[in-house]
Amino acid sequence: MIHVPDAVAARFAAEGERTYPAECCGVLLGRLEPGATEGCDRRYASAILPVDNARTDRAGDRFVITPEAYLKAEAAADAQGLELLGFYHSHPDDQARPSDYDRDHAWPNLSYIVMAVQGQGDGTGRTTGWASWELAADRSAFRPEPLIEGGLHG
Amino acid sequence: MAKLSIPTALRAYTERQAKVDADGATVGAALAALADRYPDLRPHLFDEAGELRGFVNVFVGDTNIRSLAGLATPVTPDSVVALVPAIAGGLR
Repeated sequence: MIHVPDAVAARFAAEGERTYPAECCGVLLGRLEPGATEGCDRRYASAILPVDNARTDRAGDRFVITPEAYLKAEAAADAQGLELLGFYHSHPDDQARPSDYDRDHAWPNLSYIVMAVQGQGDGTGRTTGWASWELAADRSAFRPEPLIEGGLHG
Repeated sequence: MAKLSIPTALRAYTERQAKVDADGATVGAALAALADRYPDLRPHLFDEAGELRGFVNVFVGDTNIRSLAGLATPVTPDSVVALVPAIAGGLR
C-alpha cells in the first residue's frame, strides 16, 4: 500500500508533461513501514527525485536509470533520512498500466508508478492518470498497489 | 571481509539491513557468503549456473566490477561493495 500526497503526485505528473513526448523517470522517496498491514509494506511517499532518462536512443518508449543515478538516489535518501520507495515513469500517449517490458525489468518490494500522458495536439502533453503497481515476489504478475490516499489516479 | 551495501529492493531478504559485513577476499566470495547467510537472496543475485545476474550491478567504491576483475575483484575490510539493481522499463 502506498500513500501519495497530492503535492507529490502533482510533481511527477508535471515531470511527465515536461518530458513529453519522451518518457520521464525518477525515484520516489519517503517512509517505509515494512509489513505494517497484514504483512504488506506500507509506503508513505514524500518527495520525488527526477532522473534523466538514460535511454536517449528510445526515450519515447523506454527508460533507464543508470546504476550511478541509482546510487546517488539512495545516497540522497540516506542524507534526508528517507527510504527509496520505488520509481515513476510515464507512458506517452498510452495507459497508466505497466507493459510486459516493465514487468520483465521490475523488482519486487518496490512501488512502480506509471502515468499516462496524452498529447494535446499542439506538441504538449497532459498527465491524465496514474497508478501504482507492485511486482509479485515470484515475478508472476504486476498487481495494482492499493492507494492509501491520492489525487488524480486511474 | 567487505562491507556490503544492500539496495532497498533486496533488504526484504536481509532482515531490512542496509549494510552487511561478509567474509571473503574477493567480490565473488563476499557475495557467496552473503547468499549463504540469506538464502532467499541467492536467486536474485545468481542464476542457476552461479553467474551474477545481468540486472544486478556491483560496485566497489565508485567503480563497476565489470570494469575491474568482475567477481574476482579483490576486496579488503575497508572495501564498500554496493549492490545496485538495474532499473529500466517503458511502453514497449
